[in-house]
Amino acid sequence: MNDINDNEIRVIGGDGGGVKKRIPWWVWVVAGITVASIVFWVLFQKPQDGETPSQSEEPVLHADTPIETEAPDIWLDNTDASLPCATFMSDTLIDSIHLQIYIPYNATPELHVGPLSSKDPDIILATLAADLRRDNGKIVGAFVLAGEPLSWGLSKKGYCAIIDGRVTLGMAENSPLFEQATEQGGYFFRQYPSVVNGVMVENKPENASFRRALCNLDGKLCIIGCTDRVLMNDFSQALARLGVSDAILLVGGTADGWYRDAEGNMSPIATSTARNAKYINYIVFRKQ
Amino acid sequence: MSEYLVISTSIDLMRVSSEDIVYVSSDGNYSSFVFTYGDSRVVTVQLGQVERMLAEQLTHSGADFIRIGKSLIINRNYISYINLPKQQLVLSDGHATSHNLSASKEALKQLKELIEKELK
Repeated sequence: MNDINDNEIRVIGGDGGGVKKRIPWWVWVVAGITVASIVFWVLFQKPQDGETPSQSEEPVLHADTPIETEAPDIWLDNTDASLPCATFMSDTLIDSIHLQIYIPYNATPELHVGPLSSKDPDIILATLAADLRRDNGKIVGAFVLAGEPLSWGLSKKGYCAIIDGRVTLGMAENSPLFEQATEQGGYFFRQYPSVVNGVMVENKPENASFRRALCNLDGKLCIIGCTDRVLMNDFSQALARLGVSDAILLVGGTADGWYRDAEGNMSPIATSTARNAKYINYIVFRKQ
Repeated sequence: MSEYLVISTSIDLMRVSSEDIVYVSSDGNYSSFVFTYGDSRVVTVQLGQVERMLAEQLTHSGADFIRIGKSLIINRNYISYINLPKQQLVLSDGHATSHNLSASKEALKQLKELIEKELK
């Protein structure tokens, strides 16, 4: 089917084009001049001596890049018998961006919808997951909570699926993991993709903000945040350079989030603002 | 005689009479069917694919359906009211609940003209 914009209608099964708006003559003239200019430029533009075609320093995926294959179903093993059930925080500096890395050990990841208390001693790490729509407060993009689909739709191509304890991070327009999560009592949500197979994903530019992402770092599921306001693409680039193989962004800014260390002390991930929206949702790591 | 639309995915199949479809709205990669009997169903198929299936499967009643913009397909048999300034489109079968939808002024203007043209 031909593309259609919001100001057009089309009778299905008819001739299909009778009702579409005609393209004004001047559009054809402008298009013709543009095409002629491009052809002229391509034919007569010679490279300077010694000039080589420009190449970006590092590979970059774009958010609209079609990903045909699903991300590998990697078992992110955050179990370590030598460690307590707690979150270990470390930090590093990549491209002048101060990153804080939160790795939860010996805990079970799941999603939670509704207000959440930071006083719950069984939670060792929690942070907001999917965005909420400003107009109606509902969840943006597909979302499955313990097998129950709460939201459908694709506005962001990154996804996280948690099925039978297996966590998959990836980027795809259609993921069978949404259906699998529904059938098997799992969890699924969508967010902006950040890193796929070690390559940063370039998203539409947004204002600088505090960023947070759910990442696969050396086979461990972790949350990485930054302490300064940075552009989304700069943050993704820093994650890729850190060695993150797959990542999706989480709600950033002053989003609610906290962790519990080995001594049981609770600390906020950022200067956060707790919200009581009906569909506010978290990715939570609970004691096993 | 009724024609049926069949949408089959890897996990389910939906078979519905074309007369029972009031409208289909887009929700990203999913489409939501609203039926005359008050029920609705979400399928994991994009609206463009629904449009193609309607055209291919409904030989006679395919032309009952009109795509309006990027996110809506309506059954023209249930159009009961169009208001351009309010950008309002009401679909109703005259018995069950009516459905209050919204579309761009330009699209509704074209829809209004289409219906007026068919009267002549």
